[in-house]
Amino acid sequence: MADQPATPDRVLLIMIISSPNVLDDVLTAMLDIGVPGTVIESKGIMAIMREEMPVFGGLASMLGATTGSRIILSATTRALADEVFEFLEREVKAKERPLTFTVPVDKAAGLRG
Amino acid sequence: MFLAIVAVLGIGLAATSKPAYRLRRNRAIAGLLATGYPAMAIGFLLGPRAIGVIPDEPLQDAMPIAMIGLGWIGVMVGLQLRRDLISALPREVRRLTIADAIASSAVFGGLAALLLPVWTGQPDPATWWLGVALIGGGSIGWSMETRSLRRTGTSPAGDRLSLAVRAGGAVGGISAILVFGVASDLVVRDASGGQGFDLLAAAITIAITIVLAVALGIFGRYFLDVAGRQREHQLVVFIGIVVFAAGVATEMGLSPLMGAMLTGVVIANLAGDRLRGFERFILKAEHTVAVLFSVLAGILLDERIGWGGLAIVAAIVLARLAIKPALAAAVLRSTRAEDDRRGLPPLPRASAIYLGAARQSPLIAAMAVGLVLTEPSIYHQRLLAIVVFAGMICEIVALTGGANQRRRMLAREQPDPAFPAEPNLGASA
Repeated sequence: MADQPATPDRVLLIMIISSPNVLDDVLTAMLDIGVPGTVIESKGIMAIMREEMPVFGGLASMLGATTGSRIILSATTRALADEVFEFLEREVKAKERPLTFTVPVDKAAGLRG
Repeated sequence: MFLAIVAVLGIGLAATSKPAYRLRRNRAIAGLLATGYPAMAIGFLLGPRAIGVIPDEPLQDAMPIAMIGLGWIGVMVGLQLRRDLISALPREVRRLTIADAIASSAVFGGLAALLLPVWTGQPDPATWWLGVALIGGGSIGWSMETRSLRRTGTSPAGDRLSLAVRAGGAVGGISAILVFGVASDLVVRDASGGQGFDLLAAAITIAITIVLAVALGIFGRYFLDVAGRQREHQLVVFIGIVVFAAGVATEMGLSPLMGAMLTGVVIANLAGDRLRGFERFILKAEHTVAVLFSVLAGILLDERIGWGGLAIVAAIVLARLAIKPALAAAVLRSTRAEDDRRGLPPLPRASAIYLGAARQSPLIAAMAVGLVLTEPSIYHQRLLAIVVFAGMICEIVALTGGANQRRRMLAREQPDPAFPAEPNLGASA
């Protein structure tokens, strides 16, 4: 597929979510807003440290459900990304807000919508 | 009292700070820290028998805090006994944990039963039975950390072996708490303060412990649902579950560690998103609680164990080094034919990772601390010292032996069968 021309309007939205509750809400909101995305299972550095050095919870520290986080990647428009930020500020408490940021996209291929 | 708590908390926070974690990137240091012995050494230095920054008396006042720690550890261990997790364990790991539980209880319990009467000078078994329960039950399982025994680089066989040893240690820990809890319930105190064996009372005690654990698990889930998504309310319920699990058990003369562990088992097997949040909360504090408990163990132990105590230490060390790694290797490799059929990488005949089974589980120190707190006596403080000294020696021997084995293999250009051939890493290997 030919590369699409760069558009200043496109950003890569990145969210790192450790709370399963917040993940549920964010996914629902993204569907409502119309932002597509890819979810990646991940682990924070401290989770890896705990996994490498188990003391009492050797098995449990290996389970993604109890230690992991999710990264959501979405190549979307700046306007839609702004709506996601507004949702986070409006609906998610400050302490629970996932680490969220955007980076500009120079070139892209395979974008849909 | 205030200074004592501040000192202990300060050590706990320092040991789990970012610079401390940076230090743990060194594999040997990580291996040592995983068992808590450096923290115990600091606790001993600060305690009443060394520098004396933390005197003896305030520790009894700090018992409620120590009980929270015991409850935390018990719940953390119990949370691992999830149906789906246990059924996913490889067959060789299940065989290993059963074999280890039987062998360890028999060998180490037998050693304790032979040597403790001589050491204590007491012929009545009821007076030293708790020591048999501690050494026999607490010797089941081993430290779950395996990274310090591995060379750099990974291989499918090495990963498989590492996981098996780690899982064996984890499930062994659960068996250890159960065996210790049941065995220690066999001895009861009568109204005059004397001790004796009472099987009926033990059975009732165990039944009450199970009922309490189930009730607490179910109520815990209910209250977590009531707390909803309010973090502050959730925190209150989390801590309440931990405190009740150990505190109620202690007040009723039950084993706090076993009561808390069974509560963790119930919670792990109940459905509910809130309970998964509880699990995460408990596990995140693992290292901090471990350091705090290790410091407490160091403060409480009484190092004056005499030649008899040293003989018990030597017996435990020799038995662990002679039996555990060989048992682990034999049982884990007993499924070779099945592994070939399933296309799994064969486990190596020799590897430094098997030495992980010789390393004592940190749970035995937690059990010994619980014993000192619930039944304070110089005998129990010296028992704590015995298990700590035995564990330290096993740790040093296992880590040194593992390093030597890897060095010899590299020098002879025979790669560790668990790992693919590696370039000569020189001093960094």
